[in-house]
Amino acid sequence: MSATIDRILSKAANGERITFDEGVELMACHDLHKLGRAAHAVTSRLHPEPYRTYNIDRNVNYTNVCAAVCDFCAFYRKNHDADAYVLSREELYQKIEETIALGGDQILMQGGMHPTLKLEWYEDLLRDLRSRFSSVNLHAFSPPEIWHFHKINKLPLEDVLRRLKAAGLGSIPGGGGEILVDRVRKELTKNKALTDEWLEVMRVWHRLGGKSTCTMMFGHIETAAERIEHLDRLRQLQDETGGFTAFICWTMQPGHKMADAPAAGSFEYLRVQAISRLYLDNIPNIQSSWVTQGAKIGQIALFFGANDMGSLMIEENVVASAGTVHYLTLEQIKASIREAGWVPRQRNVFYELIDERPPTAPTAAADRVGTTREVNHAESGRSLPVVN
Amino acid sequence: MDGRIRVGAVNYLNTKPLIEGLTTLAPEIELSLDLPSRLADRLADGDLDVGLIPVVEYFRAGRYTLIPDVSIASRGPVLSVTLFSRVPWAEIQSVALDVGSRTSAALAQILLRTKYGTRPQVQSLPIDIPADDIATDAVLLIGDRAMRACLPGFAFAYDLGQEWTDWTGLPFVYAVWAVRDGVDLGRAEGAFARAKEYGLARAGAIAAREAPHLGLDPGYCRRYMTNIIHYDLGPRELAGLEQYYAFARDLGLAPEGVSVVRYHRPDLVQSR
Ligand code: SF4
Repeated sequence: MSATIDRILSKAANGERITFDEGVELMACHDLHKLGRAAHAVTSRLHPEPYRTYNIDRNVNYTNVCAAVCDFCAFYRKNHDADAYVLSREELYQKIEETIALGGDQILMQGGMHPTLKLEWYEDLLRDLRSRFSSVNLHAFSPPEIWHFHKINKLPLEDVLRRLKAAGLGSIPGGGGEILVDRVRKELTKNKALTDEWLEVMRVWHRLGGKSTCTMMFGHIETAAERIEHLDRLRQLQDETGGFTAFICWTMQPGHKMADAPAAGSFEYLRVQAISRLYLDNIPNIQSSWVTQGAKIGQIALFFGANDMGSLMIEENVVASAGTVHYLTLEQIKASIREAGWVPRQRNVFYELIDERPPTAPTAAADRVGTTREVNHAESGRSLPVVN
Repeated sequence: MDGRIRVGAVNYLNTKPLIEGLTTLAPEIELSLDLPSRLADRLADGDLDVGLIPVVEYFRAGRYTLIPDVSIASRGPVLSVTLFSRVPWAEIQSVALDVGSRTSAALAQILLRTKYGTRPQVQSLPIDIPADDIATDAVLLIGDRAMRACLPGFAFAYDLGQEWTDWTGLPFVYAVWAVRDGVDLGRAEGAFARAKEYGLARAGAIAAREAPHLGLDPGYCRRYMTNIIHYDLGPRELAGLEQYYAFARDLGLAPEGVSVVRYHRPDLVQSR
């Protein structure tokens, strides 16, 4: 067993593609150190730069009305529920203005799948926001929403995407991916894009020259092989289009509806993220999931395949509704990166660095994460690639 | 006594910050590094004066005192105390527990029985038996063994530090510095807390030195010592300790009537 694992890991660490079956073998392996070390070797090879990145955006949920009814979701409401909402333009402007004031360059706009809003409504919205806030990237509408637009407007998918793009859609978030295997999707959700549909939205978007991120939410009803199947579908599409900039994975947060589901913890998260880094040899960036894992594990994740601390999320409703949310300030995110031994740099969704000038090398304890102890950075001892 | 103070600890990455500067700060301390299972026995036999012992051993002895402000604890995930399972918690019918730490073994039983209401058959997993050969539904591994076992066929990996904190909202304390009854530490008393500060301030250097032997990244080792493991024994840790004692006692895993927080008080020792 161990010899097989070693062989697969050194293959991956050396930049060779691992097969589906090898991925399944890795999923069965709980040797956290071994998996982490190999993933870190890959990250160090892909990202030898002295910095690790983060971005500043705001997650705006423009509506909580949703027709999809996912089992794990505590966020959605029915159209006539008393607390159902669609954000007004004024509320949106205000959120975007606050985001800009905090140094943000992007809003992540996702909603439920509203049963009656027409495509024109979304086009108007994008055009309006585009013209008011020309510097802000509109990272919006996960594939299930776009698939939903395509269905309810009875328009070809490509037309929907072209029109959204023309109206100002900047990039597409990888939301609603969960596990891209229909057996799993059919069990988890009632009315949501199936695997091929999710992928088709991304494929067409990429063909139109768009970029997007992709995700995996695991630790519910999926098997180990289904996790690899998910990664494999992403890898295939990336071979075809090259349109994914980053991958993010997190464990399902139990609570509310699936309260009985056993929570996959940090051990599992780090293990699966490491395997994802090894399997997804063609996706350049992996974001740490501190929002679901907390600052400490979010930082440790930088040694288990991640090269990015993800977003300073100014607002996060879906995860927060399920009961788990971790807040960090911008200074805490930067301190997390710095304390792990890298220089923090701000980037946009295209992974272009956007801080005005490169920050100078970290100085001791310039700013610290809340309860974290002061560390002497001269002793930080970050090592570069350990390819075994 | 000839003024020497015999101190024992295990030699793992997570104990390093506590012992790094100990003998420099208090030259009368004579430090010996031993297996975890032997430390408690040596302390009981009078072969040691102070031991960094698992919390359950401290309860069982019932007569040691604590060095204030120092422990080995987690405030959430610990990554190195893991219950691997083929089935979800509630379906676990048999479990093998690593004999390496009775504290974690009792914690696993508390979670299984008190939190999840199961009554699994329990067997112990000797140190020399490879965990991969185990036939039970679940197996508890600790330390490096937890992080280096491959265990194909186990679908779940539950982090017991995280389970505990998610459940109780409190830190979990794994080990404390326990002082054998009647021992006077004299001027060495304060050295333990000072050694903690000293060791943590040098976490980077410790990590850089130890990481190659462990085959790990130094940055990761440093974060492990400074962010995942917590070395304080403050009010929250003490509350966690009390809570853990109450659960362990109710399940018969610790003796009745232990007063959990008994500090080492040099003034009382001297006045005897
Ligand atoms: S997860 Fe998204 S699609 Fe599913 S019910 Fe919630 S809001 Fe709707």
